Amino acid sequence: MGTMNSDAYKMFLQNIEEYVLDEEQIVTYKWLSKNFDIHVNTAKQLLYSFASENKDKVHLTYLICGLLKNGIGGSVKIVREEDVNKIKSEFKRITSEHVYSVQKAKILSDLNILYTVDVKRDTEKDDVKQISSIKCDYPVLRPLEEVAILKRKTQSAAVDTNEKKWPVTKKPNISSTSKGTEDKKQIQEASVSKTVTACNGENNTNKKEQKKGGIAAMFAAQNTKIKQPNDSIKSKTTEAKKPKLENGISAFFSRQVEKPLKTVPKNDSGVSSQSDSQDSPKKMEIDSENTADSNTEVVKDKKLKNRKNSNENSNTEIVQDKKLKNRKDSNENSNTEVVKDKKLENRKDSNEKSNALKKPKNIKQKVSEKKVGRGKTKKASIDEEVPSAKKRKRIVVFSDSEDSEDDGNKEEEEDEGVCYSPAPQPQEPDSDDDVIPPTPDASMKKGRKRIRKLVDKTYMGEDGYMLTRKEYVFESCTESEAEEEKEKENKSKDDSEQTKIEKVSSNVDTKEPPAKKNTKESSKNDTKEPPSKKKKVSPQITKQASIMNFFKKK
Amino acid sequence: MIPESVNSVGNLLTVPINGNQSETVYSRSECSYTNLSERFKHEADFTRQFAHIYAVRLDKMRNIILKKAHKKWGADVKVRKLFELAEEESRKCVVIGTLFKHQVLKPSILKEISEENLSSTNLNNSVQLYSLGKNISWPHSHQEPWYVDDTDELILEDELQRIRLIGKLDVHSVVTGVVCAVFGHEEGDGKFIVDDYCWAGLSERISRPLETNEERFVVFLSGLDLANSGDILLPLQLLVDWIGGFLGGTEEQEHQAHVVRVIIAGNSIRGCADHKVPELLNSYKTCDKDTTSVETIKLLDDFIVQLTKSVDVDLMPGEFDPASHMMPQQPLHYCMFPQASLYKTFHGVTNPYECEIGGRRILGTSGQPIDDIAKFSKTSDPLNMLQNTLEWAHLAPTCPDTLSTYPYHKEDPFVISEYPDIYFAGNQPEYQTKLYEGPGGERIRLVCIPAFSKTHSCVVVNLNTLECYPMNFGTYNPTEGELRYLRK
Repeated sequence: MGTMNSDAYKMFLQNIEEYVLDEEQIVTYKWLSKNFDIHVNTAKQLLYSFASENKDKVHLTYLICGLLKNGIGGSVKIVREEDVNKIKSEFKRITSEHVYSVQKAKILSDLNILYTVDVKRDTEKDDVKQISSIKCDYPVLRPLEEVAILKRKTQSAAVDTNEKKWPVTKKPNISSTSKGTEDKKQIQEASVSKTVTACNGENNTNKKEQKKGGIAAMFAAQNTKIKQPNDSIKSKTTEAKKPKLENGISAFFSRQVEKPLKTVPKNDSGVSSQSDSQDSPKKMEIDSENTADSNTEVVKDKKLKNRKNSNENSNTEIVQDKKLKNRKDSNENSNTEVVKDKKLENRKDSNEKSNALKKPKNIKQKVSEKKVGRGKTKKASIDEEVPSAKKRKRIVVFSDSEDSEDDGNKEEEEDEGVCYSPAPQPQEPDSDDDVIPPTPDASMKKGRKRIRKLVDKTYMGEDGYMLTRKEYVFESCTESEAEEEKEKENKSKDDSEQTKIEKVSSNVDTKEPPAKKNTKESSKNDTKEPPSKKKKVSPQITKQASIMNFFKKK
Repeated sequence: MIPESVNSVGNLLTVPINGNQSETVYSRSECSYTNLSERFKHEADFTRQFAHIYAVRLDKMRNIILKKAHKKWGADVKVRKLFELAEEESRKCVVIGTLFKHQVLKPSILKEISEENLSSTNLNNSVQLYSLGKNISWPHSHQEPWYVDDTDELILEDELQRIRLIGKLDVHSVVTGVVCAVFGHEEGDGKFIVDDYCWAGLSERISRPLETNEERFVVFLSGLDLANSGDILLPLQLLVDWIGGFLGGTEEQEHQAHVVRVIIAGNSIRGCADHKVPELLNSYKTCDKDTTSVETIKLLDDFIVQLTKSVDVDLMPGEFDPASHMMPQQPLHYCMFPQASLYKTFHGVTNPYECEIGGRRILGTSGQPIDDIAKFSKTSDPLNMLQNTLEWAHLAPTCPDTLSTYPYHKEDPFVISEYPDIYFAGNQPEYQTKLYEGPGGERIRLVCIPAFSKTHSCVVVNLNTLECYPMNFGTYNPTEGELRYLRK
């Protein structure tokens, strides 16, 4: 800035020459002003001086301001030097005339490219301030406190939306766990399907059998867990509660495995679920598998303990235990051995759940996300990473998008969790090999579950919030909604029960009731699942339904 | 070549050595400012019916019109309510009420639903929505939907009754929702013969002294439509540079230093509706669709932040902007403009918008009321419609009939209870202006602000003299023939 001496003047001209002639760039006065930190008017003069010294080598564009001849206002135009005289004839009065840009190219067919010249360079140097001929004497910047206030409004709005969304995520988590149980059930079904159905008896129908098979697998896992219970009675109790919830809400859990894990640890306080769900997404990816594994294991353990402790208390429990035993027996001698081993291991490892999780096979089977122990979940996450690439993939999908999670991941997780769920790390390897064929069935079930998740309207209704993406997905499955609501209620109840149980680990009776509830819920879910699939088949119908819901809500 | 008043035109076509006089820095003029748009910030209360807005409108405007009626037809003229007409036995009297225009072609949701049930029970939703839009027919001469028909009838309503109007009042020059006084007599079977009529007109003259005699300007622009028009980027950048004091010679820059405010009257992000087939709500698609708007808003933020560095900017939402659609539209949220919101000089304001700058009252909308009136009347000139709304003393008479609004019940915020000095409507097809002179010597500058995306023009209004002129920005591109010649 300031008055320019001849040395600086020559230096500027040399720079311009370098840019224009050597680098063949378009140099505008604005760019010159920014780049050399000189007044815009000086930049215009420099361009003029340079152009008049190199008339043969460069071409100019001028900027002309003035009042038009037709008397209806003024005009600001960029013109090529050849057109200056032509354009001047259109003006009644010219108020400004200066060089706008200098370039080597003779023809700029479209002068609009001059805009891109400045914009590109603007982005390159954001902090450079142009030197304008107009300045504000009064303060222009908003005080930071005021900016914060302006943004606070937005945050509050954002918080609302988050809260709305989170409940949905929680549900999916639950479903993922349930899926895991289902998967396990499927696997077991291949070998012990009949036994399982018989065990489930009360709730299970023919349709339910498959699902029940999954439940049975859960029970089997529980049996194994029962053997293991020594390590963590609390964890078992929590797990037992969780599995029950998972069964009922199995569809939800299957979809969002990761979330259930988080939710489970938070289950102590139902309110915390939202916050958990928020945190969960990132963690879910990594932890979902691990947590799922650990959860399933824990659940099984708890169930086993519960069963052992209160076999007499409820017929259902006894039946389940029998089923589990039958399944184990039927599955393979190795499984039973494994179960025993698992029990032992669980007892020993109760403190070291992480170790059990670390075992890849065990993890897979145990993965049942439903029961993920709070402490175990964290450990489980590490273990999960180790397990199989398949599991990892699934987990990743869940974390990325609920939808994707819902379908494959949840089911897979459920299968794994149910089959291996409680203690049976050793079992898992054996069972995995055996189980592999049945897995496709589980995948089928998974598809159904996914559908259910999509349909869930209940979340919307219960929350009373506007629709979110996730919610829409749930909405698509109209029938599942009721289930979800029930599941939510059950979950809340279960959570409270779980916490109580943990405190009163010795109380077998308390543990049993939740298991019954879970089985019932699972059966309901199973029946409901098929319709949800149908809905998915016809996207238009589902969309319409969602719109209708939207209006109803309003 | 050089006009007598401008001596500095060539002074930048010199060599900048020693004693350069061109580096003057001018200070932006300052001006008092009061935002008077508080009444447009609504309380979102949807628990009531829309009928209340007509009741409060009639109640509020009756007293104003009563004065005008007495002034026009004499102090002894009889003013009656509709239920008192029978007692008059066809003697001349004045009735004050709200006009309702019965139009056969007016879209009716009830009609659409009944047709929908008859015709398309098996079609899916998207097809239905699409076909509904095409059921409405209008003359080919109108690009916009036009619902005027020769069978249109006028009906006057007061609090209790309604009566058909026949006579001097032209049905095609008015719209539903206008409050007026009609002078005439009842002719049996529910008809009222109108001999004369009168509007609420301007409020009583208000003295609003100017603060200084220094020249100050306000720049209006609207309809940037950044989402759809890439060719306005250079013109818009020129505008920004022009206001910011980068462009032009020293006198030009000195002149621009007197611009105290820039008012952007709507449709900055989008200037027209998407003509895609309506999409059903879908989580994936809504996601993709929003990305263009987000990028466009960022672009707008880039432009506005250049302005806010040295001048106050008021940003009004428009019909197609990502704001609430109902009138009055609430300000675009600050979080959409992370750069500009750092400046005190950036103001998100409502539409309609009213403020007082340096003693001048400015009032206007982003153009929806004018566009809506055009659909339901034969008044084709936006400037005339703007003037009509001023004479009707109502910003948007077609609210809530055909222009969506909130169900107000305590007040009608659109009533113009104090006439402005500058009255504008944004997003109009071309620049139009008029200095409206009221009966009491009131001078009101009416301005139709052209859409920048179509005309590349903004409007400059001198606050002191109320003089007004458009400013065009652009390039002078050679024609094809010239280009071919040059390439040889």
